[in-house]
Amino acid sequence: MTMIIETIRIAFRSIWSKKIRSLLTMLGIIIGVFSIVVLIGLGAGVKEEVKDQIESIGSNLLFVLPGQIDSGTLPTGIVGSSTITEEDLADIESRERLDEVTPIMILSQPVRRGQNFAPGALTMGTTPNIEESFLVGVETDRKEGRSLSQKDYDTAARVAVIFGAVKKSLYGEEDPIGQSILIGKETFEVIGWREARETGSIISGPEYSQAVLIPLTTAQEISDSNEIHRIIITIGDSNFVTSEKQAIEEMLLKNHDGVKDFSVLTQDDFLKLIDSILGILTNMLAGIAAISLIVGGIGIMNIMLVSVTERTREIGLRKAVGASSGNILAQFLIESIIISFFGGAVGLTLAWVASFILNAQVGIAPVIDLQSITLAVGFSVAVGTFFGVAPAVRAARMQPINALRYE
Amino acid sequence: MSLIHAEHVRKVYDEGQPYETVALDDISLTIDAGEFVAIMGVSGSGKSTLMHIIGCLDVPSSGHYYFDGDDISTKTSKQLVSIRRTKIGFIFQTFNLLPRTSSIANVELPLIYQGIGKNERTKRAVDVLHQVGLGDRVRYTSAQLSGGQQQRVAIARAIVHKPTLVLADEPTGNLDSRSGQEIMDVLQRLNQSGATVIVVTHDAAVAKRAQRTVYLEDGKVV
Repeated sequence: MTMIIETIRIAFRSIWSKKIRSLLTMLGIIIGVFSIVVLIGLGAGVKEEVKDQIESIGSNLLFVLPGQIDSGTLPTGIVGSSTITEEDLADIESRERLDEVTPIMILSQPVRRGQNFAPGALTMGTTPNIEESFLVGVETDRKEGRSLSQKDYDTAARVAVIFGAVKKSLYGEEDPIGQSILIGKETFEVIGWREARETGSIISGPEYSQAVLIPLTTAQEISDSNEIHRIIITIGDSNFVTSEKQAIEEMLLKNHDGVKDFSVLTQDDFLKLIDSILGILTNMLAGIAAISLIVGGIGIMNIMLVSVTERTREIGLRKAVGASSGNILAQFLIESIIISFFGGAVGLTLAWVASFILNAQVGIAPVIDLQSITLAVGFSVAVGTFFGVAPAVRAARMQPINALRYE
Repeated sequence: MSLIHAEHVRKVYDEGQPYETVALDDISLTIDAGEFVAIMGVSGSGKSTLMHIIGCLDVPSSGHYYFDGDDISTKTSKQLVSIRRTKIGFIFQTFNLLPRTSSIANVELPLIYQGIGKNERTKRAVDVLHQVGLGDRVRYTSAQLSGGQQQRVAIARAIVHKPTLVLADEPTGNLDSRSGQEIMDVLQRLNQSGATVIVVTHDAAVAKRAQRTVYLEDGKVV
């Protein structure tokens, strides 16, 4: 026991006697642990955030999307031409258990007012019920003007409801109602605007604050197509979500001659999908960060090898006065473990600080839990041990007479 | 009983190679406990090799070497460590003190490897530093000490664990003659208080302080 404490004390003393060098050696580990913890934490934080958003929309929704999307694979058919037909829509609308069926056609045409563009605007051709169906779950802070009406729909009126970010970039503080905007080459009258809380993400679907709602019929007219990119279904009784999903899938499969080029997703499927996408992303990033940890480990090995050579005489002397090879091995191994352990601890502390900054600046708090702490510290100690072995063995193998003679 | 007994000890480096060197050739030697012996010879005479074998830092290529009754030729390096740790103290020409380290910390080094606790170590280190006349410099690092003082710290380190044998390799080689005299005085007192002292040197004046001198030439006792 005394021996272990002594060895640790010796290791500390030698680290302390070369402060700058030790700090620089630690830097590799600090950066490695910092990035692993932050990236894993960020992944977990984003997951939480997105989960909250999806859940806030309600658990009684079904989404019909073109392309085949399974939880576990990346969505490929989300963009590009759609495979969902009007026949599919009509079939779905004919089902009795569904409360609302909202088709969405996404128009990729610039939205502007004179020379002023709304850069991220997302024009959606849809039915008048959209605001009562799934947009109900989107928190709206302010609601001005009216919604799309059945009459707008029937007459393919050139009217639009715009959301916060679009309103802001086109009108600033001005009141947009009654004014006109251009979608593509068509002039639309703004009939209402909504201040929606920032929601959604690239993955989970439209960012509602960027939405411009126009009647589906209008969208079909100006784009000269009948494509439907999304169908959002609200089911009154959430107990029927699974059975309805199955029934709709079967129905659409028949329409599509048995080719599953569409997906019917529940809230849960979405969550799983996002979970898996973010999981892959997080692991990938953490993997890249882990490389820096390994590079840090090589740095430790390098410095320790130099240190062993520099201290050849010291090793010879220690052996002459009674240090066993085991004592010497322990001394150098503990030294690299201490360096990497403290590197890990500093990296973790910095990551913790960064989580506060990120939370304040970006609004996403990286999750730093016991698991990531254990992982970070365990990983750094493992790296220190692994890369410390070679220098320590070299030190332990030195013959005392050769070491004492070393110039 | 003799403390050191060498029988036909031979040490060959790079044995079997075209450039092999015979460092020690058929050395037989006996030194009793309590003696003060000088081993003399010019450089290359094999005196350092002999010191390494006597000090259990190395083993002979052939022949037998008994230290305190144990046959060293058959020991593993682990067993050699434990003999050095308890029974032998080394003094080197270049002092070999740890840099940036206080006198106390240098002196207590052998005690660390014996597993002796901190308080006991400090006490014993301070005691021997007093014995070698450095009682007022226990906290000084080697850079703050003169050559003679550094060698006295090294002596303190060599005797702090009360070894049976103190081995000094050219202890005055890096010192001016006055400091050298002082170091020899310390070694002589050490011998008078019961320790066996062996000094390896090429300096006749140093050898004169010993009770007996062994001369080496080309790896042989002459």
